[in-house]
Amino acid sequence: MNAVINRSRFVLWGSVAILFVLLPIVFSGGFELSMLSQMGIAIIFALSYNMLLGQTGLLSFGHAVYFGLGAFMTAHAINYVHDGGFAFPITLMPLIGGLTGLGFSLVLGFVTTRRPGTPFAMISLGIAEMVAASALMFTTFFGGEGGIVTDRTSGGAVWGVSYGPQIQVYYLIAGWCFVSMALMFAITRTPLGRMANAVRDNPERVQFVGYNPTRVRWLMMSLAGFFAGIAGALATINYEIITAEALGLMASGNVVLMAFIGGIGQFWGPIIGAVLVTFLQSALSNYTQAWLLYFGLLFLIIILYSPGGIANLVTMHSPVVKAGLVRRLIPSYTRAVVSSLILGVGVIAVIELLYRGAEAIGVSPLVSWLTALALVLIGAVMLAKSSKKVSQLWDELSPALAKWS
Amino acid sequence: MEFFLITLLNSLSYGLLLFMLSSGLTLIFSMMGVLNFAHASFYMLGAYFAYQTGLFVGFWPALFLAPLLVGLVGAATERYGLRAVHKFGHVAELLFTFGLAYVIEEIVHLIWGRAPVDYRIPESLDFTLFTLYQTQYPAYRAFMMLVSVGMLIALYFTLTKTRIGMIVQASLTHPDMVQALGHNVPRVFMLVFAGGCALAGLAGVLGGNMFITEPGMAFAVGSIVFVVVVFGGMGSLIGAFIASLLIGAIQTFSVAIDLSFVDVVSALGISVDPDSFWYGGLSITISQTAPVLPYLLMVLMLIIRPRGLMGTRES
Amino acid sequence: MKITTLILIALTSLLTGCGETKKEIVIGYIEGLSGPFANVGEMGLRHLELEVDAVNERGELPEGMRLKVAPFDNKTNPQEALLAFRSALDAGVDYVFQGNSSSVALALSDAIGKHNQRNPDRQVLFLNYAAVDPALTNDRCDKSHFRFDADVDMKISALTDYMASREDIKSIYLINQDYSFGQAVSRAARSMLQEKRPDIKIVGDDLHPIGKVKDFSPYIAKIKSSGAKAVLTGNWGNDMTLLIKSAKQMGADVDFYTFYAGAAGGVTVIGESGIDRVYQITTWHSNANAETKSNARTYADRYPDAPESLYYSSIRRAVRMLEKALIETGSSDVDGIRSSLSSMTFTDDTGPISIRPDNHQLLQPLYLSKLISVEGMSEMVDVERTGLGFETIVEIPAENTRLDTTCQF
Repeated sequence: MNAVINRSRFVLWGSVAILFVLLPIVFSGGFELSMLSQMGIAIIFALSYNMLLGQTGLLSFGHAVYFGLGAFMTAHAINYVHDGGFAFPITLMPLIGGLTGLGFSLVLGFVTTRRPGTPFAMISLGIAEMVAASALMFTTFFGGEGGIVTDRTSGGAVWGVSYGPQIQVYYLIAGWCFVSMALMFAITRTPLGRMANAVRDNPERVQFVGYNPTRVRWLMMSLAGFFAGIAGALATINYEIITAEALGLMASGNVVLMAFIGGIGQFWGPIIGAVLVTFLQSALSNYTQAWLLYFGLLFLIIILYSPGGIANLVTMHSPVVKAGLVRRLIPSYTRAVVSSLILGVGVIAVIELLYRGAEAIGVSPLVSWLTALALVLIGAVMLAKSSKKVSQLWDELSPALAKWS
Repeated sequence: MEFFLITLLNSLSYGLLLFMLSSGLTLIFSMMGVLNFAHASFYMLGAYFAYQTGLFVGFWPALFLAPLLVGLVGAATERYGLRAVHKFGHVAELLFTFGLAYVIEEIVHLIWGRAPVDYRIPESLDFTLFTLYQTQYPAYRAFMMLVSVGMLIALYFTLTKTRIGMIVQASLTHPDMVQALGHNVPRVFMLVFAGGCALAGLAGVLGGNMFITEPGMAFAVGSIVFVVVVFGGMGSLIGAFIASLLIGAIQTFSVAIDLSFVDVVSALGISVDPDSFWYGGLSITISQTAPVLPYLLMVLMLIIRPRGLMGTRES
Repeated sequence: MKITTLILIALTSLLTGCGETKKEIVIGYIEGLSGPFANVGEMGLRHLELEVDAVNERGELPEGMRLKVAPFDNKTNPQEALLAFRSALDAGVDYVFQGNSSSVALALSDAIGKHNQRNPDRQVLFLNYAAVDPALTNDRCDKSHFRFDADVDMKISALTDYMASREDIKSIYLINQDYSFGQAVSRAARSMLQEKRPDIKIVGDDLHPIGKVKDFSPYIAKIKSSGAKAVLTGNWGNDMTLLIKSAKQMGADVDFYTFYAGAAGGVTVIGESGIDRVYQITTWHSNANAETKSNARTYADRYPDAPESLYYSSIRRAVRMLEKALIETGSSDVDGIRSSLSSMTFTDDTGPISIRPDNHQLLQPLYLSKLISVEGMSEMVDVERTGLGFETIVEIPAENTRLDTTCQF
């Protein structure tokens, strides 16, 4: 086993840190800064989710419960500070969210982690439904429809940091995001992290070796709840409002999409997923009403053709790069990319025509429909051909790649 | 008495509708091990197809056509979607249906718009069947029950008396053995999936005009059918049947109980301050929680007896 | 490829075309334009575009100013709404229109208040056309927020006034969705009825989870066994239509007093089962007078394919009062517009209306109307082409809707 910190890893994490510092200098607009902050929160949340799904093999449909409960507790804590109840720096508020998430996942995890697989997924769904329903009923704690409003500047300015301007909040989120990422990565290298992988792959063997798979699952779930709570707390600080939607089924479903699109097989997969999904949700919705449909289609395509997510696509090619065979892939890849672009443009045109109607775009309906359908047809035929080529090529290359993978 | 009888009838018709929805899901779930998240979407498709075909041919032909169409969509889903994902394991299959539910809902938006469509109960069934005390009992509800019971019987005979039914039944409990005996299990899978979807579609045809046909209807029933299936137990149609009726009864009867924790303790002579932090939670009545009680039941069942009420195996 | 280029051009112009010169005043419409409530968002957008086009056509704005609508999707989620608000700011929006979901409205009101406080030279106003949580003009009021709909308490006050005057109503059943709005309806109805007609018995007070009930028949059975003849409900969407349909099927002879029977798709789904038994309390309905009828027809002519009929008088009033403020102050300075709006009086199709300076709530007449069949009545306007329409039962004068406020700017 490699040491947790070696040289290349040091360089990698160092450049991540530098990237976090430099990003707001490039993207300084109000909307961009908000989006970066949102991405930071999503990264923590998606990584914490992957501690369950990717590392321990627990499919949860209720992870937003811990995110939301952490967020609400933080909101109350900030308000308590505001009212002079006690003094606690805003910078460390995410700890309160994290501990809340930890507390709830310890309790709920104790009863739910005895069975993996479908029973666990269903229990998590049931708990999510119940928590979401009670969030609307218990207005004292959850604030009803209006949610709980806070003022992140409550703590006053410490060394000139008041958390009024968004840029300061961004750096707070970036800092916590970096620390959480590092911690979650470190956990994958601990014996617990390794045992979690073993529990995922073969719980019976784990039992033979003398470990208790239920306990491993429980511990992993508690830790996941902790980080989800941190993400929730950061969301409270970022938005200064938290409502019951944050712990609803939609939020839980969203994090499943993030982790899976990014790839649950690699530690960094969910990071890609979180960034991409957040970007698509915010940016795409500015362009088209059909963004949910595109989003669903993207998800289906990934499950059908690359169930390891985007991360898997990347790792699949690392032996090719190492073997120096990239050049052989380029021609057929270009063809495949071009044909899927044509198909994609055609599909998008069809969907947009359906949503807006040709008149709204200002082109004649007949011409536009014919063009769109022709694009779909041509694209589909070309893609079918070129993808066959690509898979043939992979078959040819595989003997040469064997020693590199 | 009036209230009790009427509520009993209502709970029965609601329970039977639930059973129609969940029987297909149970078959699929037990056979393929996949909880089909998109099952309720097929229920929605059933309602929309019935509405659309009904515009051209009327309600009665649509009653048969719509489930058939839904079955075809289901077969295509299995053949070109699920089967491709199968090799990546159950999680991928489950997530595929999860994504499919999103896409179906958006496609329904795209075609029929977001507002509810005007899918009505046919005039020939829009009358009062009988009047119990002062409450009228609509004929359509009785028709719904009739169809559900008819379906139950048909399903029972198909499963027990036909060859394909035997294979399906054997696959429910011993999928590996069936495969070892040389049956074309993928095709059985496809048929079961299509059949299950068609049953959901039939429920949609009946439920769509009884309640409401709009793009959110799938989401609204989506998780409750899981509850029925999980509660009833894997591989057990009887379990699903009992669970459907039970959950139908719980949901309808608990509405009548206006009792809260505060009432209970105040009957014991303890008063709770209405301004206290916990009052909001303690004063919730049973009737308020009625629609979420099934989830509580499901969680408890999974914790105490993960195989469900009548289940034969866990996964 | 031509289409996509066209699409792209159309989209980019939509996004980036927001002008730098203050000749163009940008109204940011921050609503749910995707997801389950998108139809309501699109419907509001059509209302807004109709009014904005009318303002530009009249061309009475000073110095050749024009209004322009920029839609932003908030996905009916408070946090997404804040993100949408940021991009609205980047796009140069001065006036934010929003109304669906009080939770989004509270979040926006709060965020816009904080923004105005932190950026004194870049003020933004929030014109709320439909969010009815009383908190917005009471405990959580903000001087940049204006409400053009009437809040829950105002509507219930009007409704209970009417019920108190009906000697034949002896008992009432309350059924509401279990969240802050439904709970507020239940609370307010209880206390106001108690005060106005202590002899009316409240025979039931049900709260059910929002959007979770598929079969309302047990509730109807309960209502029937309680013997109530009147049901007061704040339910909207499916929770309302299913309730009314279920009552019809079980032959329950009760009247429904609602807030949102006439809202998007409601009448279509209720259909004949609601005739003569569904009442609604609103700030406007199409058969209030000759002028409202002609406005409703204008809307139907402009959007022949739209599923809905004219519904939001609040959007129309907000745009027209904004127009008046711009003409009166003669500049686009937002501070000036705010103080001009703060105590503005105006005459619209239902008569004189005015904004309260102490909490920025529009005072306007309220209408209690009943759903009837207008088949064959050529002078009446129907809703959503159903042949059904509303007729006025009572008109409550604007001044009678004034309630105490706890607001302090």
